[in-house]
Amino acid sequence: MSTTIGYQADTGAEHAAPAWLAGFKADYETIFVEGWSPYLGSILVVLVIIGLMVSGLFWGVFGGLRLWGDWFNNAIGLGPLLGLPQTLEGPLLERISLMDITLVSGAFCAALLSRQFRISRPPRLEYVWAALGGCFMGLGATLAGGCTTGGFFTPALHSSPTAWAMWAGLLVGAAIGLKLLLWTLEHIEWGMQAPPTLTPPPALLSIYPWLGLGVVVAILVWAASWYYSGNERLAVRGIVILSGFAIGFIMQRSRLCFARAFREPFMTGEGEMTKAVMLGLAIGIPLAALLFKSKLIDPYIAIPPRFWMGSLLGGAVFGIGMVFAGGCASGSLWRMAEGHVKLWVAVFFFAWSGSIASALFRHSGLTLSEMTLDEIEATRLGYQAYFPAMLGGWGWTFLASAAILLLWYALVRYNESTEKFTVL
Amino acid sequence: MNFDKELDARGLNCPLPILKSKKALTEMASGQVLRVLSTDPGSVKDFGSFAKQTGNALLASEEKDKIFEFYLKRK
Repeated sequence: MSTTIGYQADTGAEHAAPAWLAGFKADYETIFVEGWSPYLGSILVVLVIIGLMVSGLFWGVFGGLRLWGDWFNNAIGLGPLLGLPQTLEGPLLERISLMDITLVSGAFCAALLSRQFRISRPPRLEYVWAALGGCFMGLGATLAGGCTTGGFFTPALHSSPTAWAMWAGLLVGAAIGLKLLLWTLEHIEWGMQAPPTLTPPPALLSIYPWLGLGVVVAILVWAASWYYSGNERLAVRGIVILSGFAIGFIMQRSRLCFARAFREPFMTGEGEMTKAVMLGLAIGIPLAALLFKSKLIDPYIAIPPRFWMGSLLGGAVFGIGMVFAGGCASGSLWRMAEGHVKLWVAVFFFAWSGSIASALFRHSGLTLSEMTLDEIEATRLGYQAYFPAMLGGWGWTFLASAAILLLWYALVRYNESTEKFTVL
Repeated sequence: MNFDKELDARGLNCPLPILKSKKALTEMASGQVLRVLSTDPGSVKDFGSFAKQTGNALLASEEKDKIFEFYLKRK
């Protein structure tokens, strides 16, 4: 495969560059232009999450999107009707929202450095699927108390079975979503014509890496100024800025995608992304356990009270949505930063429907939280389940997590050879 | 390279380029070649696995200005 034209167009000038530059250019290509392995990406993301946990924080995505939706609902006057607070925390101060914003910045920066940023417009029908998929994801994440990040990946690291209830739902949802999408391809003819591709002028392309460097510097200055501000609230958010940025950067480079991890075994049968997610969990679960044992962080802060009904149902609804939208929450955010207009629409509807669904569910009492006698949160959709508390210790906890990961691995591996589960 | 049919999957994200290719191939005769245009960087890997899974040979995979071209031969 040839390298990008943008790069080749510059080579006239670059050939004249001194010979000593060649090695550095080659390394730049390897690190910032060529894709990383999803295994590397998954391990790096887990390490960033462990870093967050050491600081008493956790990785989430949906809470931030819902806040954006709350802001939007207040702006269009729906707030009082939904019973939303009239004064909301600012999107730059609320931790998960800040993490989302910096995740987009990190992915945007990586897309600039690799010269992959393109405003990419889909055919018209895709906007319909983006809106529909976004709404399903908002509803699913509300039911499950989080998206593939806050409902699955993070609780899995926190040794909560709620993650695995959502996992089962996501598998079912991804398979149903794929079947439905295939059906639409057979039966819907409208809006399939792709609009002309927008190509950035070569002059702009050649300064992309410098713009990317500018984003890095801006993020570093921002994070440092908050970290050293002397204000404890801001100092914590300095860590959030860097972590969100790192996660977005890593995800774009390795094209890490939970939607793909759940969907691909049903589609092409190929399971690399799925195995990468498993590897990340296999490394992360014992590392996180060490942090819980040493009381550096309370495991319950990132376990949604949804085991098992909410997680399972939410997973299924979310799974359908992410197939239609073309990405889960984190995956939509980094693709949005690559310039895919479809994902901008998907994220907007995800945030908006997430805000509406959360308000309505709270109103109906479905997700109203109560403390149980064991001091864990419970709603009508489930409770905060934690393996060590249920199974009586870490030995059985590790065994349970390992057994589920092995089962998943076996299913994916078996399917890679037999394609028993592919729906194509 | 010669081809019998073209699929414009530009602007589409995964999984659509694959799903549409699958549909286009089913409407073709054995031995015919489908040319797919895609802008999704993830599609490079996708088409490799798709060809392997379905037995439709991937004759070539090229990139020009971030537009990917795939040539699939219907088995």
